[in-house]
Amino acid sequence: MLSSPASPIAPSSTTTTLISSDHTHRTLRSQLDAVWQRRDLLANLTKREVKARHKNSVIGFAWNLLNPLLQMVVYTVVFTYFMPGRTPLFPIKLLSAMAVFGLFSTSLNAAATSVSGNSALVLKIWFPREILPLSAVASNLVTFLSRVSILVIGLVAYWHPPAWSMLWLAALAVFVTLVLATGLGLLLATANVFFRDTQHFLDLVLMALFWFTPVIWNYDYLAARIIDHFGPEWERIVLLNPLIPIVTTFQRVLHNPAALPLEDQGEFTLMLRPNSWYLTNLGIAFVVSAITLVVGLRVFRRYEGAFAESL
Amino acid sequence: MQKRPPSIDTNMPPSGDGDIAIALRHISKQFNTGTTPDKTLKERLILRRPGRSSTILNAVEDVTFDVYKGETFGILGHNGSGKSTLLKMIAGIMRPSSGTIRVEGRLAALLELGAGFHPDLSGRENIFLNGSILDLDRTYVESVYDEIVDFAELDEFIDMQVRHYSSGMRARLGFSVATHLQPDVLLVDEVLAVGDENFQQKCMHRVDQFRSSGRTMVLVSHSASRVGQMCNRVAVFDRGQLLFVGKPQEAIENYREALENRRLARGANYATIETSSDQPDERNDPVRLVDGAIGTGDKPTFAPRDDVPLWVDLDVDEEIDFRLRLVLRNPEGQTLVNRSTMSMANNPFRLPRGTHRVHFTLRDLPLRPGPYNLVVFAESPDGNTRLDLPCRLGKLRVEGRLRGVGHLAVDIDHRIEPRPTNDLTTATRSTDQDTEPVSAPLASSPSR
Repeated sequence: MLSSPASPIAPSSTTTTLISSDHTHRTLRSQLDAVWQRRDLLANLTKREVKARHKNSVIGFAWNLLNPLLQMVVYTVVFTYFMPGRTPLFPIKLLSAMAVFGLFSTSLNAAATSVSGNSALVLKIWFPREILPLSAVASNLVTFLSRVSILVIGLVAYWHPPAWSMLWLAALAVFVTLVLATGLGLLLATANVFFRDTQHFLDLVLMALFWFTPVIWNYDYLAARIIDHFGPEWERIVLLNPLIPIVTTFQRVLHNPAALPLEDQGEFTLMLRPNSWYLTNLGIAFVVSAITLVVGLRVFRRYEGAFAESL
Repeated sequence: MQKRPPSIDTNMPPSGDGDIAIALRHISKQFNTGTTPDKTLKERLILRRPGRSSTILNAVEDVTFDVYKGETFGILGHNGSGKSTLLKMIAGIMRPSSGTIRVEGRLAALLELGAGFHPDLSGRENIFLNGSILDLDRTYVESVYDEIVDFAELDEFIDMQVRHYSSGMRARLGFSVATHLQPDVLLVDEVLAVGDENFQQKCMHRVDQFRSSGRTMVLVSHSASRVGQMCNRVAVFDRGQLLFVGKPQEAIENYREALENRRLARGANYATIETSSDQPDERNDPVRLVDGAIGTGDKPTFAPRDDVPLWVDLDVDEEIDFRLRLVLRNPEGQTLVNRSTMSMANNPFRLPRGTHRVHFTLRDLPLRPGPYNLVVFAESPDGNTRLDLPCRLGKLRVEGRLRGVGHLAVDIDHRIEPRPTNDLTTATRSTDQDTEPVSAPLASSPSR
């Protein structure tokens, strides 16, 4: 049967790829291994996302900074002149909340459309598909870091010190955000291949989530009311939204109400909690996020083989 | 890359079997084609009627074969035969419904040239991105970068965004990238016909280089001649089934046979005249072809280079100038002969009213064995107006044995002698690469 000339084979990779109808042999471990082996591709696709996002614009990367800056100016004008609140350093509070909420919402949005939006790649070349939602999240981390630089400029401008000793908690909050966004992103990316409603539905959910998370208002407004009505043990209900521990931690560290004059701290009594309170709540949020990630990876694996047919 | 699972199909040859590049075992693929795929939840949940049945299409059915290392393997099939689906499964893009595929080594697929390029990035950025998708490290891509750009003839455009590239430029870049990145296995889906003639030549040359470097190539096409020219072995597909695996020339015969059967199955009845199809009364042609046949016996079967006689009957209602045109095609639809009676006799026909029979003889028809279709129709002397619907005279069969894969049965003799010392003349030798060095006529006599 062998009719091919026995020409020497150039030494090359000795990888063996096995393709079968059966997807169960892909364990979680092998899924992560596959992504790790292709980390170069992950980095390159992330770079591509970041580059391509502003490729045809004049000021390019500066949009990443301008966008949150303008948003902050608008909200600040509205909430200090039109509907005046009493929050001191409102722009800083807003920017710190918006940075981390924005990280969550933009990366989730990008991840949800990452497979359906890259059909040209998915239909032509095989690579671990998990890389698509992952690079969507990673590219938004780059945007996030640029936004944090604006926050730093703001802190310097107001000469307001962040809570230095709690900085690691802010980093943990960002990490939890990424895990949660990746987990949900994998689920939604899968769903969006089969139901294009997903992305529209997600817009609504993210909008609702924005107003149910203390981005513009303060955590105290909601939590104090709940405690007054139902008792202190019911504060947990509020914390079920994993974004609330994330956003409050980030605000606590960067807006740092503890460094405000004592008479201005009244609105932040519930946020002036010890590190352990933040750590506990972030820990719970992390567990929820990690479970989401595992479920996301498994669901993604389960349906990944049908992507090409449905795109 | 997926790791080998602990439990593996027992029919699989053991991994590390040095000769096999791609092993397919009992591959099947079904598509659910009940309706167009529903893309929104509303359609899926609300509009889903309980009794709605879905049709299962067997795109590929129980296919098993091996592709050996270093060979160029052709997959031949008409549109919808499942050949592209199979290629997508080998590429890992689609998961088979059942069965197992094992691919040894790094694989790259050219399923559509220029695909996988990001339009917002420059050609340069896309080359590196593509390299990274194919799992190559940057230093390697850097080392072949100049060659890629050179080959694609894109030097001055390489920093331009790919969205501004013409489709030809994209195709050239895609081809260049895929073949320079040296995968162990290259899958190619009917894309070699890109660019101008010049570039196609380059592509063919490049593919030859790729093959001679001992790498494996799988070429999917519906063009028998292309596959025949390039492949060591060929698999023929028809309606999702593997009909044949083996030598190109036999494969091509199988393929042409399958095409012909398909045409017959579609209900095209060659022995009839198309005029009689729908509304014969509405057509009031001055000249009508009413009947015709090839050959003299009941089976129009010939040997290569036989004379082929045929006749047509005409009804002439009006004494006008006209000419007849004969068109001979192979099953792939390529026109092999297309001549009018004007070019034979220099004068248009002008026949009195009544019925006439015209006899033709196609002399020494040098066709390779296979089925062919012959059509005759009447047209105005300038060829601009067709006077009648074409009369399909039906299938003409050439039988016999022929080595080689081209369209024509041509005797080729050769002799070998010392090269003349005079530099201006070059040695005469056979250039047909498919032939073995025998001095007998290559197209042997029919084996009827």
